[in-house]
Amino acid sequence: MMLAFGLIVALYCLAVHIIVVVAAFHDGAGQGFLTLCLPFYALYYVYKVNGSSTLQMLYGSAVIMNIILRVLPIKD
Amino acid sequence: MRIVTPCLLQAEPAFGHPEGTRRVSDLWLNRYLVFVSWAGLLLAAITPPHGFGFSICWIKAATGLPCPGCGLTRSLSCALRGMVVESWQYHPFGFLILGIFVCAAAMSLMPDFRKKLASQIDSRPKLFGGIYAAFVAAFVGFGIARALLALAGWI
Repeated sequence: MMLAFGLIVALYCLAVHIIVVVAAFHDGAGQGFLTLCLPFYALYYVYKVNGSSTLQMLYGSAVIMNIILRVLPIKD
Repeated sequence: MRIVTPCLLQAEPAFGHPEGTRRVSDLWLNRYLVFVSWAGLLLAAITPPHGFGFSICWIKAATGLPCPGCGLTRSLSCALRGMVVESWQYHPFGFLILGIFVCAAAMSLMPDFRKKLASQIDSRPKLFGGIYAAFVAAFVGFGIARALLALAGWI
């Protein structure tokens, strides 16, 4: 059960990151490459630069799910 | 009635990001790209060809899956040193992105040429907008395919 949850969270995080990368590239190549190459710039981009509530919700939920995964041990 | 100037591309808001009309050249030649290009070239120069031995990507650390940009720094480092095969293996877009970075960095030193190039790009918004979209689609498509292959255990 936890393994399946971990897999879903991994795919969800990847999908959200890709959506953020595409949104950043939509703003320009510089923003896109910064989001790709600079650790945690995606977080700054989502909450300070882009300002979209949809992206903030998606990214925030991905981070929270990751924290939950870290806290809960995977036993399957 | 909306009047569209030929050199402007009517951009749709990206996820609620407020913007009106903007030039296609802003996608290619904005100030962020100049910064990223110089920083990327510097990083590629100081990074060993096979990396420092640890990942700085939180997506990879959290999920175990490579994000679309994973391996790009090592690929740029190898490309800068002429190591074609290794660069391709780390990230197939390394050489292309190194070329973009070199061009953007060089153009930041030649503002007149940059203005001429920007006007050339803006005179063909569909062509250059299409090339940009194709580049992003190919880059993201590669990232998705690589992540799915990693998930299946094939790479």
